[in-house]
Amino acid sequence: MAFQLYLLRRIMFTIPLLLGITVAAFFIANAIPADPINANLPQNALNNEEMVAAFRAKWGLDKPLHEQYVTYLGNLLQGDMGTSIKTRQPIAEDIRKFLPATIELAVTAILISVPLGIFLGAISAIWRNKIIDYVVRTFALVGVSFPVYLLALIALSLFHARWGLVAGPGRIDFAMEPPPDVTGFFTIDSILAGDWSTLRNVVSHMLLPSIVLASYPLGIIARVTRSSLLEVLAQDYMRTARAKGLPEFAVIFRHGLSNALIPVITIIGLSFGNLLAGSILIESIYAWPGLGRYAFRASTSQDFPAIMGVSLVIAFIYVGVNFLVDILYYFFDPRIRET
Amino acid sequence: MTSYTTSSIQGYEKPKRLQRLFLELRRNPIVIAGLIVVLVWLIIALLAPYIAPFEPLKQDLLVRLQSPDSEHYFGTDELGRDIFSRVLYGSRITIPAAFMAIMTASLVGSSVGALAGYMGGIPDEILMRFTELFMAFPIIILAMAIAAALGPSVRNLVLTLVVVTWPNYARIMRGSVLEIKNREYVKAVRSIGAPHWYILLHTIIPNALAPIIVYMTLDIGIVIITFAGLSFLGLGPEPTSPEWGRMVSIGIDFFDQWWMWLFPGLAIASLVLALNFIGDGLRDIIDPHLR
Repeated sequence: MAFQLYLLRRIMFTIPLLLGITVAAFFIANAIPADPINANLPQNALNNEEMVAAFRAKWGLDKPLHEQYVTYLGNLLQGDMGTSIKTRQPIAEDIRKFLPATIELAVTAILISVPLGIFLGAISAIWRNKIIDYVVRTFALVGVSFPVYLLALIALSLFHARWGLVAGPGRIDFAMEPPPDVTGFFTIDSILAGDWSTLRNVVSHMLLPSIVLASYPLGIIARVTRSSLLEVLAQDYMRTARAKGLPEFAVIFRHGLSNALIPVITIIGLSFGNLLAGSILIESIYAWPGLGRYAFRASTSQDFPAIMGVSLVIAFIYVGVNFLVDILYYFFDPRIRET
Repeated sequence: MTSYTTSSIQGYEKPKRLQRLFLELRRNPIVIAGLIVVLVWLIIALLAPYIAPFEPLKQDLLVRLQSPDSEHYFGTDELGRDIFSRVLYGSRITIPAAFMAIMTASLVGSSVGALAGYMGGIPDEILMRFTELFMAFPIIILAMAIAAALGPSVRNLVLTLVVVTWPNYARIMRGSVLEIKNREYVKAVRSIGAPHWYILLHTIIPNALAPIIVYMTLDIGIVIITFAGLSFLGLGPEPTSPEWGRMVSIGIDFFDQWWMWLFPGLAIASLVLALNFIGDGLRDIIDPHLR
């Protein structure tokens, strides 16, 4: 299949999904709460008839449900997700402000967990049922079994509070100036500014949260790599490769791992959603000024419109990442190209 | 009444399979360890009022924020409540909630999946598009939105977990039913005139249950983690409740009093880890090509 055709197909598949997500979000926001006005307006505004009427008019609440959805979608397309009860700011603006910090953390966590997870999964499969295999499998299980916020607290209390090996909460020391804002990612911005002492400080702050965030995808990726590689190693073509007299290294990496990676790519896309969800659970612990902390505060203070806004944005990012993963497939899985 | 006994037709081999399962389980020390830990938690949940040294809700401001000692094994919290007793009582919230959620979700999901797989055609299409929609959200994000919309309470949390987990069961059951419904033994039952409901209930579903059960053992850990996570976010029981996730989240404000967050956190971790040990072992046994 030509790449253009494949791309077009994936886009055709993604658009209804995105629309479906807005339908689901609309349904959750409007049909489940007993009274959407109660759920979406702060207490003092509820007593103010003018504000209630304005809210009603803006979201078309006196119209039938399908017209309400059209209004909702129209507002959404203009980047209007309503107003946060807690910050009193437009939610879209809040999210734009907090998103870069979270993306930086999530991308770093992916960069840690993907190579390490594939490596650990591979050695675990190669030395199957040896000690190394049991160690890796136990660690992988711990990674997926421990609540991420518990790992975050344990890591913070040991590596920062007790041993002082890394910087504590926040993205950068209080005494330090953040690097000049170009991308919103402190690491890249400080490299661009050529400011190495800032970079060192920023990395030191990022180490704990990104490693903790990486623990869950690391466990999942190692497990999937292991079982996928075990399956591939049992195939006939592996025996053929060995029979040809190829060195064991080439057999495992060239013929084994490259074929075993396809399910791993799927899992990487799916774990990205887990990462964003994990950031909601740990950013507060690390005082990380990202979307996760925003969502945590919204959630603990019952700021319903903000919760819906964050959920929608995360679902969109999730779909976007998995769209990219589908595109990657094309290059990793020759079967797609040939059909 | 007509009987459509199938045992003679399909060479029913279920008892033998169960026997082999137990044999394999006995040889797997990790599964045994998991089973023991889960069993201990079940006993704790049943007997909490008899083993807990203190009342889980009783405040005693004179002994607030005490570190673990021989009287308060896990220390005390900011209101002087005994954390050991609270952790024990916490199992009485988490375990029944997770059990209810997983049972309901698997029942709803498998019923819908079985119907869709058996009927095929348009009902099947509609259902599968619908489940894909649920899977477009990361699970805890969707759960967070629904739980926030329903309002915070344990009952609503269970409902939320059912809503976010049933689609997986529907997909698994549909896949199995599609595979089984054209087998010889199903055709045989059909040929002697058994009605659809009988074929589905007595012939197809019993043979499609194994993957559902394996998935349940793997899924219950995720359900517990999600339950505790939502509660951690304040979307579960009220703050005074001895729910584990909630206790950890309150403990964040008392970071230096590590016992406030460590013990409830380890309670979640030990239970989920044990369940994952069991689920993993079970999957290895039932999925033989990984052996």
